[in-house]
Amino acid sequence: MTSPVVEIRDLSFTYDSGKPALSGVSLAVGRGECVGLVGPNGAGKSTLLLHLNGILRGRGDVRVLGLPLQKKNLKEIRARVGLVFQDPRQQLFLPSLVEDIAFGPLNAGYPPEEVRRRVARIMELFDLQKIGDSSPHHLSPGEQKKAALAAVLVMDPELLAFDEPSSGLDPASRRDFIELVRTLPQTKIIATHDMDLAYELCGRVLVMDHGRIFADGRRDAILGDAALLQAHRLEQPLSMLLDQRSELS
Amino acid sequence: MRVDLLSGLDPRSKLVAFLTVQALLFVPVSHQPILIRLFAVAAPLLALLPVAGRSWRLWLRTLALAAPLLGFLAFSALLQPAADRPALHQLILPIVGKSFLVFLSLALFILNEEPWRLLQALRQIGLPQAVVVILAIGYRFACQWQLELEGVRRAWTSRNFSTLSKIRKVRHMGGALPLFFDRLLEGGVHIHDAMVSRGFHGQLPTWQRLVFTRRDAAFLTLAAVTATAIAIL
Repeated sequence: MTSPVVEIRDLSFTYDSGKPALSGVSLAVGRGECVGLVGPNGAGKSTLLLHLNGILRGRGDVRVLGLPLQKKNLKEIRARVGLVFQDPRQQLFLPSLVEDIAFGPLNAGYPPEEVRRRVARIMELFDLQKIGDSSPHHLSPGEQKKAALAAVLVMDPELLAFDEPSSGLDPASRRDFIELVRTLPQTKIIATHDMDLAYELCGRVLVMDHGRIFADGRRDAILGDAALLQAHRLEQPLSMLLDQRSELS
Repeated sequence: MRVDLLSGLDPRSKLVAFLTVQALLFVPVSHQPILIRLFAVAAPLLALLPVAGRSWRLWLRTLALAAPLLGFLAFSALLQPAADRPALHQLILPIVGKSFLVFLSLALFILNEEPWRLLQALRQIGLPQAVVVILAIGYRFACQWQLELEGVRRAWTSRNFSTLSKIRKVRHMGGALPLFFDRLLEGGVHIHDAMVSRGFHGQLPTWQRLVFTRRDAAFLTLAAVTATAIAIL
């Protein structure tokens, strides 16, 4: 593995309600990898992603992009790690889309000209110019998802963490989204229970359940193990089964 | 085709015009009778109305919202003895007349503007940042509330809520209220997480996207001349 972008050792986290969400999670992700984090509801996937950006801080050792997850490093970590939330309506909160996209660069302290340049570039890349002045909550779910990703990518992050990126998307929007994510060169961690999405995008897959990592390996080995997946309330991806069938025939 | 001469103006110009109208209405700058003062302010505003796009509708809508209160005030004034109606002239007429004009200025200069442009304008005319942050998030939350309420309404309607007796309806609504606020709070926490993940640390920086043009200069000059004329009337 190349130098790890994420290094987590023995991470545990319990919510204020007393519910343990992570227990003894250890993980290393190399530069350029695309890692799928699959597991049933309540497995701790979102909680783990929130640690990558320092929103949650549990017990254990977390290093992101070589920086220990400490208060003094949070500004830099947040500028270099892009977190795409499950519900884009909660990610986009400003009155206009342009302002929302500019939010990250302005917080990072970029000069106005640089902010303008970055926003214009990302809006063009995502074809969002026409809806730039619209209120984000008036956009379709597909547009909102795209806008949420644009609001994160405008910072040129080195690590992208997606939380259930395909939820709420129709098949065409989901396909567009997959193709878009496929073109991104960054290191990616995708938390999902859309097994087909994990199969299409990720070279490595981790199975999480009850706040622990139960399996970690190459995509085909993990997603090909029907018994393992079933034990954790998951299913083999249909696209993988179809691929296998067409290879056999 | 709908004519809207105000739509291209910088929202800062509109804010200044709005504040000027409020000053003319509420700061006693002349000793003329109240009716004359109100008419002097109303004339230029009404002259703008036909060329201000959807302001007509916005004015009527705000008036409709305030109609019960204004109607009650007017009605109570009319109940005064006919010979001497001090309340009508000294109290009710100014309240009703000023309300009409405040709503008119709101419709002309504020309500027909995009919220994000108004928020930027407020920020740039020197409103404290904390207030602008609260307004921006408040606007966002208002939309979230609307969505949540609509979701609850549909869920109830789909399960024949309308057929329940009034007492049971109220009981259901009372029971759902804490849950509704709980969901809003949870949504708020998620929004805060998303803000923090993009570097939010209590400041809401913005950058200059509003453009002050010659049209704004002309509009403000005209507004200043009119306001001065009314003030020295």
